Amino acid sequence: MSYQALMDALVKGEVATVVSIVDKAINVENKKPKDIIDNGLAPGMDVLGDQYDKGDAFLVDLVVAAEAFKRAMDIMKPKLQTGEQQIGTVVIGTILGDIHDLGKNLAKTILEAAGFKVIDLGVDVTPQTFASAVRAEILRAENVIVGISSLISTTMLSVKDVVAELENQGIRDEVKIIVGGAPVNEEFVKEIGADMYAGTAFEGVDKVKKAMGV
Amino acid sequence: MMTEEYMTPRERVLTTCEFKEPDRVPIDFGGLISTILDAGPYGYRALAKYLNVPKHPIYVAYILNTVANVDEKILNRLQVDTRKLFMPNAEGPITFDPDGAMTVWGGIRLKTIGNYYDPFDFPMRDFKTIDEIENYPKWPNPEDPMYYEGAEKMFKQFHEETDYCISAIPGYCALLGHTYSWFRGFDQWLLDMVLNPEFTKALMDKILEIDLEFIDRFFGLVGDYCDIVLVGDDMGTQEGPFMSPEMFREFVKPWMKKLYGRIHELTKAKLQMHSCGSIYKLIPDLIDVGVDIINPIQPLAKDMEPWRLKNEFQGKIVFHGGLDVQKMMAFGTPDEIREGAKEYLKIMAPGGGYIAAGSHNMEPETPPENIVTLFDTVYEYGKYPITI
Repeated sequence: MSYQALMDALVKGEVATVVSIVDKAINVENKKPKDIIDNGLAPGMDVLGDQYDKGDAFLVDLVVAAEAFKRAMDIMKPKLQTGEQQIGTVVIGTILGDIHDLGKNLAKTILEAAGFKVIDLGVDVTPQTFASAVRAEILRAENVIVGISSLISTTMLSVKDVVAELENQGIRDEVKIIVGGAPVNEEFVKEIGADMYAGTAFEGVDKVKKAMGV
Repeated sequence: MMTEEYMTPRERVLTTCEFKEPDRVPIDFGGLISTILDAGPYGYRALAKYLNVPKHPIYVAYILNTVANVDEKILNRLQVDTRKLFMPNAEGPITFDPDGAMTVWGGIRLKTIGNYYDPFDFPMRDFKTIDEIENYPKWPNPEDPMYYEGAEKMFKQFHEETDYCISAIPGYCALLGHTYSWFRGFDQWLLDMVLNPEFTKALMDKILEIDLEFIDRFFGLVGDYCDIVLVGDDMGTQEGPFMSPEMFREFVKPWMKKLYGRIHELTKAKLQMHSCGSIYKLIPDLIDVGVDIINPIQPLAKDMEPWRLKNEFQGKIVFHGGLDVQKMMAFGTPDEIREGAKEYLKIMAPGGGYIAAGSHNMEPETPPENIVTLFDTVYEYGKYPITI
């Protein structure tokens, strides 16, 4: 297989080509999912991220690449479960009262492409659910990050409740918390006692990587 | 030096739409966009209280949760030059569902999320074939007179008995991409364009077909009595358009051209389009499909700075909005708002082609004194010739 061809197909949004290359690589050529991700899918996502930052790629390109990545992951999943090492865990969700998940889903895909295990709690997630998921994950992994997405100004206040709930349960210091979404900013994140702010999905993933020393 | 007003509100708006300087910069507020929500901590109720307007029934325009009937005392106090008239029952028959949601036009389902009514549970999400589009049982019926009940009389009366600039708001039937994403989900709309282009075009065709039937009937009744028609389709995020201009030209523009073209055939009114976010790269195409006025002009979105827009498009498209609600209005002090509004007017007002309004709806965090300061500043410094 050609990793370059896989990367190019992902960047161009050629979903069927991505699927066929990955399918052949896994089921015929017996390639490891980690190699496919590290050499094809992850660099493809990076290229797309750069293009998006420069205004050469658009939201639709990110959504299509995320779909291609998801389909590639579905093909690789059976092999992934046999002991691939992941560099950390991110518990991710859209905050209580909010159902917008496009940004959260993009962040999830890029995190998976970068080699993270992502626990996706979905939308309209209560602080208690965030805390329960964190509690479960810190038993399994050393590096756990909580990613909270909030798209509307009234629900962003509930992000603070997640921090409070983690504190109540005595697990606040076990994790780093990153917050993203239209109404939030660096200042807000500091004010509520979270750790990091992400302006875009790509920026979020960069910060998560740095926080984990990757 | 202050100049006396010598134009009616309608003349003022239409003069600026011809890229000529009226007596002062026209002001817009109320209706569906670049207005105010009914939501706390401030919102419409706080503004009404601040201006000593007695309590009154409030009607909201679903989806945006904006106040559809901003009180005349507020509109007069803020020197607003327009009056907005909606298609009377634009949502169609509304059903309130047991799960707390409501179902409106074409089976679109809405529920309250924060301050907004948001579409969810998209009724065509799982459609795989073009036949399913045609066989969909919940297409609205444009022949149902309920949609237009009393429209002609209301529009005629406002147009003939007032000298305000009358904006017609047709609602759902003036949308294309929005409707698509409310039927399929926003992410699926974007995916469909790439993965299933034939399906995308077929659904756009069907939405356009239904829209045109409404548009023909509605403007057959009110076309002579409106000065502006409001249409809309958000096309941008804070960072750029949803899609490349090439993709826009393939999957959106042809349908817009037909819809907007038909509206232009039916009325002499100017066509105002609402499209959020960074849409700079699409503006030449929007001019090409017949958009006369573009709103809301979010100055903090990429490439949407006033100098860029004014330099490039003066004389080609009228700008409506631009007074930043994302930061300035919600979090600025009255002094900062005065300076911000003056700076914006200084760039956008000369030569006409500008209608002052918020860069979207005033967020609920916006104190009422900020809103009054904004419009007072526009009124004071918007007198032509601009001398800021």
